[in-house]
Amino acid sequence: MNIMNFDYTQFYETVGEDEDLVKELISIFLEQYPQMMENIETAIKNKNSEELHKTSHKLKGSLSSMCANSSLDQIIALETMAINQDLDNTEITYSKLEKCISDLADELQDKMEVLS
Amino acid sequence: MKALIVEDDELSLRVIAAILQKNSFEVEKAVSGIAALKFLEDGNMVDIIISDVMMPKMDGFTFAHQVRINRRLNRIPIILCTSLNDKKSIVKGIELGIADYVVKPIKEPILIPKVKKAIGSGPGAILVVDDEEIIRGIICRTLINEGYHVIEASNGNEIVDKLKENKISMVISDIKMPKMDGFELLAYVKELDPDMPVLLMSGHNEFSQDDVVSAGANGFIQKPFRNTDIILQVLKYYRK
Repeated sequence: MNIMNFDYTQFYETVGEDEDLVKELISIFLEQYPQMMENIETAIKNKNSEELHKTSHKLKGSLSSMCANSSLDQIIALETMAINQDLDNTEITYSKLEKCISDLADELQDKMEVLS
Repeated sequence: MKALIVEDDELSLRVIAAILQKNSFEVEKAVSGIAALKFLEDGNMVDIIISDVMMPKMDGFTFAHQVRINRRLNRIPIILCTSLNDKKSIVKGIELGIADYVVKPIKEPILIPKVKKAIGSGPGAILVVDDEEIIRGIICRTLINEGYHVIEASNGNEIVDKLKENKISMVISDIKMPKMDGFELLAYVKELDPDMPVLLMSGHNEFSQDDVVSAGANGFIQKPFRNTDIILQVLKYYRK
C-alpha cells in the first residue's frame, strides 16, 4: 500500500477539520468511483478520446478533492493522453490507475473504520 | 452573503459548500451550468458565483458568458475552479471577465480570501428602507431587474447592522417611518459615510426636493412613483 496515495492531513485541512464531512466525502467517493472507473475503461476500449477526456476529468476532480495524490498523477496522465488524442499507452496507465485506486479505497475504508 | 456553487462533481461541490457555510455564507448549489442559469433567470440573486469549468452540456465558460451578457446578472462576480494543469482555462476565464480563479483541490485559506476580495471589489448593494412592504417590494423588484443587488430593511433601526455587515453603495429610504424617520436615518448614514448617496422618498406632499437636499440627501422620490423615476435617480447617484 502506498502511504502517499491518500494525504489525510491535507484532506482534513481542506475540509476545514470537519470529521463528519470527512466521513461523508469518503462515503460518496467509495460509492461513486467504481462507475467512474467503468466509464473510463469503456472510453479506452472504444478508443474515444473525447469521452476519455470527459470521464478522466470528472474522476480527476474527485481525486483532487480527496487529496489522493498517486491516483491523481495517473488520472492526469490519462486526461493528457485524451487531450492530445494519443491513446497508445492508455491501457498501461489505466492499469496503474486501477492499482492506485484500489489501494486508495483500502486506505479510505481503514480510515472510515478508525473514524466510526 | 449568498454564494452559488456550480459543480458537477459531488465531492468538490460538498467541499466548497462546507467551506463557505463554515464562513457564514448561505449556499445555493447547481450541478450544471444550465441548472445554475435557470436558477438565476428565475429571479434569484447571489453575491458570488463559484463555478467549475468542465461540465456536461454547458461548460463554465459558456455559463460565465451567459451571466455576463444578462443585464440583471452581469454584476455578479464569478470565480472559476480549475485544475492544476489547466492554464488555458485561466486565460480564457480572464478574457471572459471572471473575478478570480482557484485551483483544485479547493482549500479554505485560498478560497475565502478570494471570495471576499471578489465580493468587495464588485459594486455594493442598494439598501432599501420602507415600512410599507408592498412599496419596498416594488422598489426592490425594479432594482433587481436592472441588475442591482438589493438589501431590504423595514425600519431605520434595522439599517445599523445591515450597513455594518454589507457593502452598501446607496441608500433609498422612506421619510415617514416609525422609530427612526428618514431624516434621522440620513443623518446617521452621512455621519458613517459622508459620500454615501441617499435618496429619500415621501408620499405625504409634506416634503420637496429642496427639503431633502438641504438636509443632505442626494435626491428625492415623490410617491406615487413610476419605475423609471427610481431607475433614473439610481443611475444618477449610484456609487460604483
